[in-house]
This record gives sequence, C-alpha cells and structure tokens, in this order.
Amino acid sequence: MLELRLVQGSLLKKVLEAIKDLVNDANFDCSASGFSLQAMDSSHVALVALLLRSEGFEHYRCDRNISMGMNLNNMSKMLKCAGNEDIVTIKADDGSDTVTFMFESPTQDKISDFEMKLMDIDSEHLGIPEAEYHAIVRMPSSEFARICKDLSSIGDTVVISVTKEGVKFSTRGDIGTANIVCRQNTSVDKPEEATVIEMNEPVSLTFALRYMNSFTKATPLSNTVTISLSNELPVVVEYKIAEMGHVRFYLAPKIEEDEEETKPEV
Amino acid sequence: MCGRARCTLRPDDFPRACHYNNVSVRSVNMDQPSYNVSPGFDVPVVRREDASNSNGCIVHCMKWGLIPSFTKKTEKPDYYKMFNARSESIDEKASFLRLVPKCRCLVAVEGFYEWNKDGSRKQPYYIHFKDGRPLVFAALYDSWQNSEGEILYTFTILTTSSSSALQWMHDRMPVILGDKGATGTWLNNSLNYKTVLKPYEESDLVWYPVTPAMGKTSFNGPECVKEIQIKIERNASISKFFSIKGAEREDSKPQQKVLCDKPVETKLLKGENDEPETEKGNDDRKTNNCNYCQGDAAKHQIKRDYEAFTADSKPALHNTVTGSTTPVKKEKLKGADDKQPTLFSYFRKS
Repeated sequence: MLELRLVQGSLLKKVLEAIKDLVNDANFDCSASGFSLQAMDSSHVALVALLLRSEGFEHYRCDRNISMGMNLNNMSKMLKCAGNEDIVTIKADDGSDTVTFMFESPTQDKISDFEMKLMDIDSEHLGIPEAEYHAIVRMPSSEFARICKDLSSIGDTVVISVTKEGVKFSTRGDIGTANIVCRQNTSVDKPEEATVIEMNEPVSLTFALRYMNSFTKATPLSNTVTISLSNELPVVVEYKIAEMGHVRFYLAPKIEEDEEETKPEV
Repeated sequence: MCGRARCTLRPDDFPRACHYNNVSVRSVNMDQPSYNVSPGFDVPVVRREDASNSNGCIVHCMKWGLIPSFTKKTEKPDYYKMFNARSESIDEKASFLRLVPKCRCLVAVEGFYEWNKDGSRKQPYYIHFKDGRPLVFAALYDSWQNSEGEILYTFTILTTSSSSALQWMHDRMPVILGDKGATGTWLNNSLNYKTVLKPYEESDLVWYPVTPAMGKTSFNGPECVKEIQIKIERNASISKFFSIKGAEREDSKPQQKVLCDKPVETKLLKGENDEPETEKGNDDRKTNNCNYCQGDAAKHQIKRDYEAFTADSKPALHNTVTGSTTPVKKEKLKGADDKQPTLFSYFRKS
C-alpha cells in the first residue's frame, strides 16, 4: 500500500514538466525514506535524479519498497488536470498495475481521481558516487536559463569555464561567437540573487546546449541553481526543492576537438 | 530482419554477383550507389525473363519493400510494410504465396546491417563476406499499378532464423545464397527452391561494429561501413575512478594521465602488480613499460622527472588490481562518434 499526500500539488506538476522532455519512461521508486526517480535520456548522455523526501509530504505511507514504471508524458497529462492549488495524493495498492492520482481542491468541494496504467520498464540504474567537485557555482536559476537559451541561438555547445574571475559561458557558431561572464556577486538584497563561486581548481568543460536547455525546464522549481563541475566528471545541475529534496541533472561533457586539451594539465 | 544494406556495386556487376553472365539489363534507373540503402530505394535485382522457360535472366531495378499487386490504386505505397518476408511462411501469406511460383528473384548487395539490441541501446553491425564478394539474397517481387497507371516493381527480401554464429546479434537473418548452385536453384528450380531457404552457416560471413549514426537513412558514405571500437563492458567498475577523488588530490592527476594512455594501462595490468618501481628495469617487459611511460610523459609535456612520475602512479597500480576494468573509460570516450561520450563512461550500473 502506498499513499503519498502532497499539499503543494503544483510542485509535482513542475517536477514533471522539468523532466518529461528528457526522459520518456521512468521508474518511480518509493521507499520509507522518500519518492525518487533516476533515469537516463535515450542517448544515455544525460541523467536525471529526483528525490522527494518523505518528510516533505503531509502524509507518507509506503509499506514496502515499490518501483512504478510510468510514461512521464502520460503522467504529465494527468497532473495537468490538477489545479495549481490542489492537494495531490498518489496511491497504489500492492501488486496493482495502476497508480491513482487524487486531486482535492483547497476548499474540499471537488475531488478528482485519475488512474493511470503502470508499465514495465527496464531501468538502468547507475551508481553515482559522492564526488568532490573542482568548482561549484550557485546562481539564480532564471539567469542560467536565460544564458543557455541565448547561447543556443548561436551555437550547439557551451564551454563552461570557472576561474577566480568568475564563470564564463561561451559558444561558437556559424554566425559568430558569444561569451557571457558571471562574476561572483554576494552583495545583493536577496540571497537567491547571489552568484557564488567556490573553486578549488579552474575547470573548463564543453556540453551540448540541447541538454542544458532541457535541464532549465526545472527553473520553476527553484530560484537558484547549483552547477558542480570537475574536469573528469559529468556536470551536475541541481535544482533544490524547498524542504523536500532536489532534481539533479547529470550530463557527460563533450570531448573537445583536440583531445589533448581535455587531459588534465600537470 | 534485414532492413538496411550497402549497395555500391556497379549495375553490370549484378549479374556476375548472381553467377549469371550475358544477361540483359533493363530499366536500371537505380539510385546513386549507396552505403545505406533502406526500403524505398531502387535496387537492381536479377529475375527471370518474362514468359519463358528459358534460363534467360535480366537485371531489373525495383524498389525495396513489397507493394502487392492487389494494393488499392490510390493507396500511398508503404515500403516499410513488407521489406522482409519470413521464408517459413511464404506459402501461407497471401501477399507472398502468389509470388513464389513465378516471381522469385535475387538481390545482390555488398553487405547488410543488423542491430544488436542490448537493453535500450542498439549497436549496428556491418555483415559481409570475408573475401568481399557480394551477398546474394533470395527475394520475391511483385508489380503494382497506381492510379496514374504507372507500374511499380517492388521486392521483399526473404528472412530465416539466424545462423548459430549470428544468433547473439539478432534472431533473424536474410536468406543468403552462397554459391551458384543456390542462386540457380532459387531462380530456376520450380521444385526444390525451398531447399535453399535456410540460415547461412558458413564461416566466411563476418561482421564488425559500425557507427550508430548510420541508423539515420540520411547518413551515407563510406563512414557507414567503417569499423568502430565498440563500447564494451558497460558494467565497468568506475567506482575506482570516483574513490580517487576522496583520496589525495596529488595522486589523482597522474593517475588520469596513466588512464589516458591505454597501452600503458594494459601493460601495467599484465605484469607490474606488485613491483611498481619500473625505473630499474632489467627485463624486456620492464624496459618496455619504461619506454611507454617516458613516451607518454614526453607526449604530454610532463615537466617532471621520470621517477616522480612512476612514484605517483603507484596508487593507480593498486587500483587497477582491484578495479580491473580501467581501460574502459578511454575506450568509451574514443568510441563515441560525435565526441559526446555517454554516462556509462562515468557511472556504472547498479
């Protein structure tokens, strides 16, 4: 038996909007500790990891661990039927091949039930070890989304370089080049508007903008985004979900034209 | 299944490929020679001449993907509907049954492509004869007249269960007619033609992996048949790679360096497990290794003396012993075609 009641139902809608473009089908894993998902895009270049901790739900009951395969597009269709103020409850019986989404209006005068068929999905779960990153950039999520959108109109890839000076996003395309530098800026009125750069070592990595743009679909989930970079690791683009968890996107860097360049310098 | 092939033969090579000489060539308005032919393409086939008991054969250019003659005149032809016919059931399916007596033909290609599906990723292979001679497939053809009165000749390639050697890749393969006897039987023998409808078991059929980019029909050219390094060992343990992060930083960098050069790594794996001090090399193996390291060092402009380098790479050695799959990273990075490695290069499956 599974019953998860989320007062802030719109959050689940936003989560789905954030990941459904990247992944078609995915297994949602429910355990006593929380509601999570890990899935790769079809080309296995990007990965999304979602965690909604049990504490964030008003009511959380998960008798035993279950994994529910869902088509995210279909799930999104159903969740779109929920009002933004609605309370969403996810229910599933043991051994059932369906999941039920229940939407309650805040005034309790309207209750909707949507039952969705589950699917069998071979999940390719990856073990993602904790890692120390060479550079971690925290910046307003809307700023990051804007940069990715702007750069993708010029080139296909973005080079993200972090130095003491700041973080630089550059691209190159047929029509020309673009460089956007964001300096560390902590003297702002609101903490979420700050750009904070922690750097142990300078890094410079190239990524496909297509994926980056897809990640920025999670912008409504959080005012800030954290980008963690290491020269030999996939980048992590993390959107925190207040008091509940996070959506993390991992993206394998592209190998640069001259392979020597990507090797760490000694 | 067989849904993609390389067809770069010259039109006059077709009869020879099918072991027929002196045949007339009819309507060879074939598409450009293509390394990536899919249903809907014009492909020359060899068929018997109409209405004759003679062994006269002609080369006739037809579209791949059968459009049965009884298809509605107004229908839009869908070449993907019947580009293959299961040889086991050609006697049962209405679309093929009618064609078996009179409309058998031969298709010659240089090789074909087959995909091996492993989980959700698909890896194409190019399958061809070791000696480069063309493959001849058993096929059936039909003609259909559309509403404008144009007659469209189309064919379908017969398939059978895969040979024991190819079973791992896919459960079906095209019917390959390996010699003159087989092509003759299929084309001309009205009684025993079924004897050739079996998997091709000879060992001269070989294959190698090619770029997944050829999955797009628009991708063409010799690149389609270029052998690639396949990304093996997807379950590779790279936890070693990550655990390094937690350890001292100084160690991790030279280790990357070692990782970057596969020959060095494999050398190390082979011999040097318990004696990393390679600088005092006496035997061949050691000196060899020495050269490798120095070469490597020079190549990457490591401005440090050799001893320091080997000393630093010690942790790498220990790790290779436990990790055992180190070369994977590099290989995968190399294998990715458009310089975009997948996450399997970094994370292992759990």
